[in-house]
Amino acid sequence: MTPLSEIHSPNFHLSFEELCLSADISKECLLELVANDIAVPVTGTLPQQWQFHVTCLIKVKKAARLYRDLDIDWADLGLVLNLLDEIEQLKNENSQLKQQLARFFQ
Amino acid sequence: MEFIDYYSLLGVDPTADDKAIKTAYRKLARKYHPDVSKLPGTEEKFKQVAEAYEVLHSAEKRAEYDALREARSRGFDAHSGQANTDYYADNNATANQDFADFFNSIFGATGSRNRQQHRPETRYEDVNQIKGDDVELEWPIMLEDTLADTTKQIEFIIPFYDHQGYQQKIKKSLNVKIPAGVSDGERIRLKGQGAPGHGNVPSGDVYLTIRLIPHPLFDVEANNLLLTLPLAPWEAALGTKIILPPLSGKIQIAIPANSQAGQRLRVKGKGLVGKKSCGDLIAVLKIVMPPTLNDSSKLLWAQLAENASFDPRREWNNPS
Repeated sequence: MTPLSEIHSPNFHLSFEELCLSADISKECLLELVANDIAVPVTGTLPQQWQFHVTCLIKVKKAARLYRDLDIDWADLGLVLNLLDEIEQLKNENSQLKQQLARFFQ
Repeated sequence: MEFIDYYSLLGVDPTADDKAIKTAYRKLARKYHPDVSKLPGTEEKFKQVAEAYEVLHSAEKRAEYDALREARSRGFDAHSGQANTDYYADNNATANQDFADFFNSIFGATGSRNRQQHRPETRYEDVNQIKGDDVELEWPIMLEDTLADTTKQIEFIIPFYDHQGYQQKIKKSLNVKIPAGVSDGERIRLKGQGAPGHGNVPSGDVYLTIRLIPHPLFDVEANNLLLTLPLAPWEAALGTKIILPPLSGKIQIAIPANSQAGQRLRVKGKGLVGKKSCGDLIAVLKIVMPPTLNDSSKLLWAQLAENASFDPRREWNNPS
């Protein structure tokens, strides 16, 4: 059996290059994502100084997939991602409240 | 292998122009894209739609596909040069594998890999130097597993395309540490445990999204644990002490007299472990009437009704 896998702590950061490599996207793509506030560096003013939170990786990969598969403009991607997040959050909240309500009326 | 009719899959006529094909693809892609829809089976459906679009929006591939389609309608397989009864002999393959096989049978084994080259974002220009795909999985865990650092085994199968473009599968079995206080929706990254890379580039990563299995008694609200606490009417009226069902330890709670249904009683620091501090345990009071009343109980309730001046519908008489 494979030994215990490496788990990155929530405070793990990725540089501009590392994020491009991990998300399998071009530098131009990441620059567009930053310009449209989809990927927000936590530190640094220039691309070579930028550091991104590791959780940003999932969002960047999702944005790249939507851009590629649905042909969504960079400018609209932020709105689409926010709305998708909001839908997921509301669905989870709705499901939790339904469960609590069911316990109360059982 | 079953013949795949890409036109009917996209819901377009075989004479449809590029614009109609693109419109049909976009409509279906928005419906079935795995980042948009979480319904079961939509990811596979999206792959099929994407494959159909990949063929039909390329003039070259569409012409080749149309020739095969035309030959098939005449009972001959133009691609392999055999009668199509032999060509479609394998009926046991899964629908998804059929799609991959069907695509590869027309456009060659590297067809699937070529799709990666079409990505405007792809970092590696050399098709032999493609980083392995990341894999995102949902991992159901018990609420009890989040109370302290726990190690659990997880097994999963990763599908990937080898350097020749054929689909392969690799089975993984890993021991993964669940950090205390992890919450529903949080992700754990397992570096290098995803699909193998091509050439000298690294394997992809695995992202496990934590999904808390609903507990039979407790609900979770941020770091707080919610417990619906059933009370008899006299317990709510007179107050009592109750030992709560254990999740991490024995807790006794005092129910004050004159408690109301829906009232929340908070036990500080007895909730879930948080990043900074522990949450609270919150008991939500639920008043339950006995299912049946015997004669002596009825008499006692009647005495109470005669002596009590309580009107639960007083607000109806004084609407504001």
